[in-house]
Amino acid sequence: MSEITLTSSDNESFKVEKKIAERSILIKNMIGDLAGDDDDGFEIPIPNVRSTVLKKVIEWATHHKDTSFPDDEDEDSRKSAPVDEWDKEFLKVDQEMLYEIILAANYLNIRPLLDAGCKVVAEMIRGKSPEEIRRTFNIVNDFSPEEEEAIKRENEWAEDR
Amino acid sequence: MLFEDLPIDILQTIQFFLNQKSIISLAQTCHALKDSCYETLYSKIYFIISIHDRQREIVELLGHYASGYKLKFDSSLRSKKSDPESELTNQSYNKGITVISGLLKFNKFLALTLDTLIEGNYIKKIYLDWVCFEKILDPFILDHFRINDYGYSITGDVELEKYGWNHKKIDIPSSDSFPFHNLFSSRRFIHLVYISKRLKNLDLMGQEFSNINEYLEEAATLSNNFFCLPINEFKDYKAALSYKIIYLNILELFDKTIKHQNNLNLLDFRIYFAGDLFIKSLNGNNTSYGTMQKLYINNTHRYHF
Repeated sequence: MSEITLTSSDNESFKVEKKIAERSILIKNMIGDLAGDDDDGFEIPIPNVRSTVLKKVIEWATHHKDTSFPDDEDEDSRKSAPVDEWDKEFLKVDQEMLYEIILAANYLNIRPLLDAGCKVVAEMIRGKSPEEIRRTFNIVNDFSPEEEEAIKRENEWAEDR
Repeated sequence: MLFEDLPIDILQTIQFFLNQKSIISLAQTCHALKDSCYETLYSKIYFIISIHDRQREIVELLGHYASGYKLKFDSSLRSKKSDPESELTNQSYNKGITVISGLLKFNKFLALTLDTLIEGNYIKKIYLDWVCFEKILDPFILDHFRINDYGYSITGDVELEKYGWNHKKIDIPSSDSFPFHNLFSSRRFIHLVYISKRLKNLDLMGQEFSNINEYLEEAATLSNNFFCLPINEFKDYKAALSYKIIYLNILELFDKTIKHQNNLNLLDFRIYFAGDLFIKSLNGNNTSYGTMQKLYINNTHRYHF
């Protein structure tokens, strides 16, 4: 079974089964480009992802190495598929880590992990008022009272009648 | 990293999983998120212009009309909502299109939202469907205006030609498959356009109105005088008046978006097979005329269902 080595931005290396690493389309393409007679011993730098985050991503990819996910182009299925229970537990992390996992998934082109992370964030927003969203994400309100009023008016057309 | 500092593509992926209402709430939190949410909400807008007040009917119609654009309902929204009316408030299509349906919403959008969107260059694509014709073209309504067998005249005091209109030159598209097609003669179409021309010449033409009910009430009195028909005889005058309002609003929409927004890459619209007549009915010197005609020609593939 071939293995490759992934090296994080802070120079920590992780030996990973090729099949697991190939959950990342970016890595899969790189392996495809670099492949020779001997697939073992690849070392792929992941300069945008620090070790603690890369470790989490590898944990996710290991758990899902045999999982089938909806086609990237199938927007309906992507949207309607609930977040897997294991993923929910996996993504119970602080917001900073959650964002880093999402960014890593985006960089490594792991669509199912990106979707799961974004869905978890979307759940934190859904049904909340603007003020509640600000509190949830520590967003500073940089609107003047006049601007706040204007943006409410601009979206009045969407209100129930 | 702060939430609002996430890259735009990540924010848009998050918004992909939110409904319209939540995206609007998110837009109200800070400037950075407003920009991102407005990109999502308003880059593609699908207007369903209708005089129907019955939202349930519109919901049913949406799937049919949208199919012309190869769009379909967002199934996740549909499955979660049992009440079509509440569904409508969150309606969207796949491909990230926001749907604005109904005359009231359309009026509010024009009065309160459009300028900001133009200023921010948010709108990239507009779809427009005009759903009210089944009511407007009700033969019963048009028969109220019938004066003689030669032509249709509202009060008989103005000739069609006075407005540069010669109904003999108008061709009705023969290949159109719109189901109402068989119900109406070419003269009825001409008459429809004629009504619109007369309405356009009313004093109220340029008046801004924000309250649709107030406007309709005012217009009802006007129509009573204008059409020289007792209101109780002109049973669906509101439909004709709504036609005028829609007519004006669509011009406003086209004028504002085309004149001020250079990056609008496609303005796509269908007014069903009456669209051709509608365009020809407009004044040749009007900006909207040229714009609409050009777009119409460019979008003839949208002409049929």
